Amino acid sequence: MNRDEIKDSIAAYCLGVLDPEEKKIIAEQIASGDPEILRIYNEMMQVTSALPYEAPAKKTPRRLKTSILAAIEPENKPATQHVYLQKKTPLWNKLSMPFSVATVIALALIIMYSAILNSEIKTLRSQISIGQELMTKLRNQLAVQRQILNIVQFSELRIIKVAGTETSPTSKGKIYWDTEQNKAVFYAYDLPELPSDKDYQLWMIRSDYPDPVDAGIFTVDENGFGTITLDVISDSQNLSAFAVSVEPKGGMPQPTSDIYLIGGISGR
Amino acid sequence: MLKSKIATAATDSELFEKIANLQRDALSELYDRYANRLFGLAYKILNHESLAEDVLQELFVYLWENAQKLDKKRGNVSAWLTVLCRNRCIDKLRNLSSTQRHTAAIDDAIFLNMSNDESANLPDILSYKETQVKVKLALQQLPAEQLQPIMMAYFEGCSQSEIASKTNQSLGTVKTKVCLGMQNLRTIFETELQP
Repeated sequence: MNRDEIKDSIAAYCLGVLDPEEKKIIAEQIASGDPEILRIYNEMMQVTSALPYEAPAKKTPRRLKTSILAAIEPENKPATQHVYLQKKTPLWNKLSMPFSVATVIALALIIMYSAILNSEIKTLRSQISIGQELMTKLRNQLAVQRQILNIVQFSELRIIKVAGTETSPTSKGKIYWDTEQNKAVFYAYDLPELPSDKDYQLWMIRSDYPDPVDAGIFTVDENGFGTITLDVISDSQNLSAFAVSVEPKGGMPQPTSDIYLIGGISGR
Repeated sequence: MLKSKIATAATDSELFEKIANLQRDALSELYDRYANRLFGLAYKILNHESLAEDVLQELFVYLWENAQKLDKKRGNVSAWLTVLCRNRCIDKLRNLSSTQRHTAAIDDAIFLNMSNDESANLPDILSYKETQVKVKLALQQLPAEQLQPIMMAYFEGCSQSEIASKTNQSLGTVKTKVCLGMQNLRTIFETELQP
């Protein structure tokens, strides 16, 4: 573009009708500060600045000013996007916010309801577990009662009481002994709970043996209740007493600790 | 009464400076002063009231958000606002073409950097109404074949190539008519617009 073309294009530049490339060239020429170019530019800008007067003024709607002033409120300042007039907002845009809010609320409610259900499920599972434990205990107790009943129904029943020693003075127990069939069931009450590596061991003190004879091991529940069945008591005439000691898990051939319960057989 | 009102009214530059200091009242006053004529211009270009409202909204919010960056001693605020308004309107008009989408921003930047000269604008001493009548009379004196491409360029945002295409003329002819028309207008304005 030669100088004459540049001068002729300034008018078009001021009107904003040049192509981007031409526009760039003219802008550079103006920026260079060339006096003649600047003079023409100022003259053409003066003409251009008069053109908008051809458009008659038009009264703006009152809401426009309100909308603009609302958009420049301090709380709206950080927003880089302009606030547009509400009247032009598409319907789906208007609905999207309430719909989003409703969706969020619905999700929150579902999550809360789900949490409540989970909590209820946990509670129910816990209750079922407790119920199952209770049922097991009741079954055990029922089995014990049946054993007692089986023994009690025989006429040759003896009941031997065992009492707590100084080691466990509040503990007690009973042995239901069917002397006819030489069977017995031993019940212990209020014995202290043992660590997992210990068992209670029942001993028979007999006249025909110098040392106590092992009659079996048992554990107690949280109430201190424990039981053991003695299927065969041989040579029962030589039996003189029962005793209970605490032994390592699985029992020992001979008592190794203090005696917790002891009871002699009398009146034979 | 009127005289005292005029005497106490802030000048455009003073308002502009207050806007730069984030005084909302100043923006409100500047709006009252120019909104109708800018709205008229936007409506003439866009021929759509709602779009014209959008342009004014964008323009005044832009002014508020950028006032601190702009020259507080700006000469002719009226002309500056007019250019910004017109550029935005044309940009909206061309909104479909990606290559032209940012025209307003580019033109704003060019204008902000180069056109801070009060002499480049119409004398402020003429009232708006008076100037409007004189401009109309001046434009009537211009041959129609020269006036048409200028009006198409200014109010329709047509490039010279588009004008050539729409009027079935060669690009060279259009360029010549635009140049001649603007020069003639300058001569006419020199006579008509002097107080």
